[in-house]
Amino acid sequence: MAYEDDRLRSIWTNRKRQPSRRTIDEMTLAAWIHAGCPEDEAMETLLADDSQAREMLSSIQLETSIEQASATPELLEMLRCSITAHLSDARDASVNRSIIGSIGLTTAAAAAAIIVAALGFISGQTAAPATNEATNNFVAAVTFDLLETDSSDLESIILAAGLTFPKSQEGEEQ
Amino acid sequence: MRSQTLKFDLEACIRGDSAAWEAFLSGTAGLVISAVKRTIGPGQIPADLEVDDLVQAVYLKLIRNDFKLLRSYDPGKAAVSTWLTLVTRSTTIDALRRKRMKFALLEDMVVATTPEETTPNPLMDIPVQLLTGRQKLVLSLLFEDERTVPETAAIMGVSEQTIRSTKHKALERLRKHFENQKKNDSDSTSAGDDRSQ
Repeated sequence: MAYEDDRLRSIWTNRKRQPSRRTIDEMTLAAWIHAGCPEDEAMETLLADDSQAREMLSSIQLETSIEQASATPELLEMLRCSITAHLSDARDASVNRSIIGSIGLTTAAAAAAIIVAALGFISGQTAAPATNEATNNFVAAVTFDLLETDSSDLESIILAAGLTFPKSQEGEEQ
Repeated sequence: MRSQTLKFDLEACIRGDSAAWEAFLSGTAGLVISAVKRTIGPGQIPADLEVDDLVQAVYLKLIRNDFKLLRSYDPGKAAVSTWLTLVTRSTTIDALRRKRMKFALLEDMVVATTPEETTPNPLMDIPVQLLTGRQKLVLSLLFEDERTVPETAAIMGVSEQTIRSTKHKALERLRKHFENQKKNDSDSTSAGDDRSQ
């Protein structure tokens, strides 16, 4: 059986199509048409398997002029309303998103502040003995370790300074 | 189609500027209505589908998902009229298809028809690399869409002679491929017969 043109036509129409996930978006098709339909293997293969895209291509290429219909004032008003409503919905959604975002940020900031305070407290506690030791060392250095010596030395200093009387004198006076 | 030099501040439209939208709507609504009507064709519109609804659907499609479609338009690559006509056509085709599917489903539920017993034509496998993209597109336009050679030439922006020659080369490749396939099949069958004898 010879492969006549009609048979080949039937084979082409009933061919197995390659499953393709890619579809042609309007901008890609418009750009290809605008460029004068240059040879493009991928684009032409996609078009060969996509009847809707071919229909769109044909409609653009076969129309000789664009006869514009006139839009009624009612239609224009309806479009205005629906677009305004959609835009305000989108704006509200964006405001809600920012409010939710700011609440989230505030919560995060508060949590961070609490964590920092807690860490400060813990490290402060850890550092306290060291601070006490440093204070003691400072006192020792200033008083030439006198405060660390025997109580008799201390008493002699106090006596010398005339801050108090010896115990015997205290008794006599009484 | 001769592209019109329509220019709009689409950036301002995306920002939500009402004056920009007013200019865009009044400048393009007529084009969208015409494209909707041409896509539907005379007397083809389902009863519950209004032209105005379809026009509205086109504009809502442009601004949906944070202006995704409107943002995709590149003024450096195509005229806004070409792009908007394509958007309108695809929106209208999708809407009509959805309506027809719904209608067909309802009909199926109401009328229980006996399916006709038809023997489906076996699908022929054509190697992907056998034809060039251009040859495939020419064959699809001529054979599937039943376009004439002058129409196909106009659609692809080439001469009629180019279309005829592309078609001829494509058919020659197909013919050669299937003849070789047939020859190989008959060779393997006769070899099998020889072995069985």
